[in-house]
Amino acid sequence: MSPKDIEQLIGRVALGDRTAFHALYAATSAKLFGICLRVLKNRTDAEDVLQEVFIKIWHNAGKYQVSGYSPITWLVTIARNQSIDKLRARKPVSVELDEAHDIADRAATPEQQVVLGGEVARLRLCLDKLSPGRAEAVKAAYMEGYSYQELADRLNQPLNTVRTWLRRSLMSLKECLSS
Amino acid sequence: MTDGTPLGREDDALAAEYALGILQGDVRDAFARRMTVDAALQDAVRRWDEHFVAFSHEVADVQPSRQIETAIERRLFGAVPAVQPSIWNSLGFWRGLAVASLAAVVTLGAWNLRPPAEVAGAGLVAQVAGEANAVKLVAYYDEGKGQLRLNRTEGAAVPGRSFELWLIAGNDAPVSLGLLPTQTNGTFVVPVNLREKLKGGTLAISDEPAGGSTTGAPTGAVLATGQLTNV
Repeated sequence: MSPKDIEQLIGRVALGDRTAFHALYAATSAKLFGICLRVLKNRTDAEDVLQEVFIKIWHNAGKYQVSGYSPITWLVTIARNQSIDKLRARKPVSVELDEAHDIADRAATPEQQVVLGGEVARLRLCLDKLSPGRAEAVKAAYMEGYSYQELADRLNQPLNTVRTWLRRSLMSLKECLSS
Repeated sequence: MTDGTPLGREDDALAAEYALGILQGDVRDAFARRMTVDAALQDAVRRWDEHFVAFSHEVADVQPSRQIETAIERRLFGAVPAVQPSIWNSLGFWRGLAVASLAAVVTLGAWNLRPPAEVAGAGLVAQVAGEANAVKLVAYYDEGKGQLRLNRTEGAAVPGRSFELWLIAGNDAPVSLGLLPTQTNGTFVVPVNLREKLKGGTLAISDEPAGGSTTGAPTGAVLATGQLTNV
């Protein structure tokens, strides 16, 4: 399903069209659930969050058109923000190890490469220009939903040090992405 | 990231950190609150979101359990509704009407020696309905005349409010077709520039102040929708 199709479904959901909501769920729930699971690493939590995500999509679809977001980013951002909120709100839980096979990274299919080529390649190119280790930290923060504290613990560095260089990396990234 | 209002260095960095999802506690909450009222911050975060979304394409899809969708629909819509039998009767009525008028045109056509091509694709129908049956109608679009005929079967605007009819074609913003008449039957002449857009388009009815929306877009609740399909 193309971004244009997704956009059209969101438009119909904004008008209370349940058939469109069903179609949007069918087309995007596996992707959004993958993202929730990747961040939360717990199937029950991720399924709870997925419910919240689609309830939010139903209620906020009317705001989509004025948001300026592309349709996939709008959906992914809702899923991620909802997941991060849950992650920050909960006490540390043990990761369900049996989920590990589910949450492996995957390479984009050739078809997706074509569609996503521009944005993915651009981000990758700019990440490559960062100092060694910094790109990995940025990616890990996004993928795993690490907070500064968790990132600092993992890298065994003081939090303020990590924040200083990560912010600097983000600003370099911004410069590269806008050039 | 060259457009938009320039942000201070601190806000610029916070927007990036927020989009990355690395903030926590009060800092994250405070930024999220400021963002709800600050368009420049929203804009900065959106631009980061559009960049970072590339990471999400590396995450594998995972199918959620089947019952999740049911749970969502139950929370949003209550019990899952059964198909309303009246839809077929109503559509059948309009189909019958269309066939009858088609037959009339064919006879007329023979009489006037008009080419039969004129009667191809006689029209479109839509059942426009929503939750709680606040308003419900059947619409029949007569292609030959460019007229949209409505038969409201349920609901009426409360005093001081109006029902407004909208056309949503593809990704276009809703376009007003006018206010629903207070009587149950009515005919709208569809503007020529919208006629091509009706096919596959969606009709929607919103609750508006008396006289209709003043903004050119629906301002009240959307009470009913329905897609126009071939007779």
